[in-house]
Amino acid sequence: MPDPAGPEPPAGAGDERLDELLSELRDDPPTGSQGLSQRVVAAARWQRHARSALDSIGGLAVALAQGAAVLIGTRRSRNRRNP
Amino acid sequence: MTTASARPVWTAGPDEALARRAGKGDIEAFSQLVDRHRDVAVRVAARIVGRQDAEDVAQDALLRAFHRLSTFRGDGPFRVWLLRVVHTTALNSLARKRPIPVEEIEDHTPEPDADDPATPASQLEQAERRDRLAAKITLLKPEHRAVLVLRDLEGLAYEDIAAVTQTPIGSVKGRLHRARHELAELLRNNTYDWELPRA
Repeated sequence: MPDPAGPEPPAGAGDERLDELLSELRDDPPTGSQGLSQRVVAAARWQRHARSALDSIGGLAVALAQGAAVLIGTRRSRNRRNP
Repeated sequence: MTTASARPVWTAGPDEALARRAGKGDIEAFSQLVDRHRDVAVRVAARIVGRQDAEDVAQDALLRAFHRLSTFRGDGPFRVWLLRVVHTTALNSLARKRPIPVEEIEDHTPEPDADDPATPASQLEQAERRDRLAAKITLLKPEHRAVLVLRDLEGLAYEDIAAVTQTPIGSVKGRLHRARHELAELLRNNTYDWELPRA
């Protein structure tokens, strides 16, 4: 394995030609469309809203469950006192 | 090959400030980040998975990044952090897809055109040659391909490539060396017009 602190691996024969060819790709880069940005931001927006809604529903469900547990517990302790 | 100059000491910039705001749910900040980094995400995705799937992979990666912004510590450039997400998403996409049959990416080498370099015919030929070269890159092993793209097409420093690919710098250099060698061999063996000298 090459030394991480060492110089770049030695260029083989043809490396310069390879770099010339790769430079043609560098000169013609694919670009993202404006539509991509719009789709990403729109999806991020609704996913954030959906997550907030799910968090709210989850919080409500937890609160209801805790309330029910308190009610059931109260009733059971009352039944134990007055059989 | 592309060489990166010595890296200056990194300091947080506008991207990192936007990322912090976006991490707290600021969609406008996220929108600005997407506009600033959309092209690099598509470029890297295109070189790893091919142009047809690049926008889908970039979209998936940008959304994953949005949901993981709370894990961005801000101790390095946002672009490197984002490219790590793009790199992982692209490799996952490749792993899910069937291998591309060789005949789909074989050369369709046009007849050489001796016309003026500025003619539409020669421009078309150059575009086709770029497409064939991009197709050759997709024949490299995914981990080699990614390093070649990040270094030789995007010009990232070794340290950044190591952070993006989550591999040691020594492995990055080794993979890059092998990727260049493999690509040169592919071009020598399968096409006549690359004019790559033998080793």
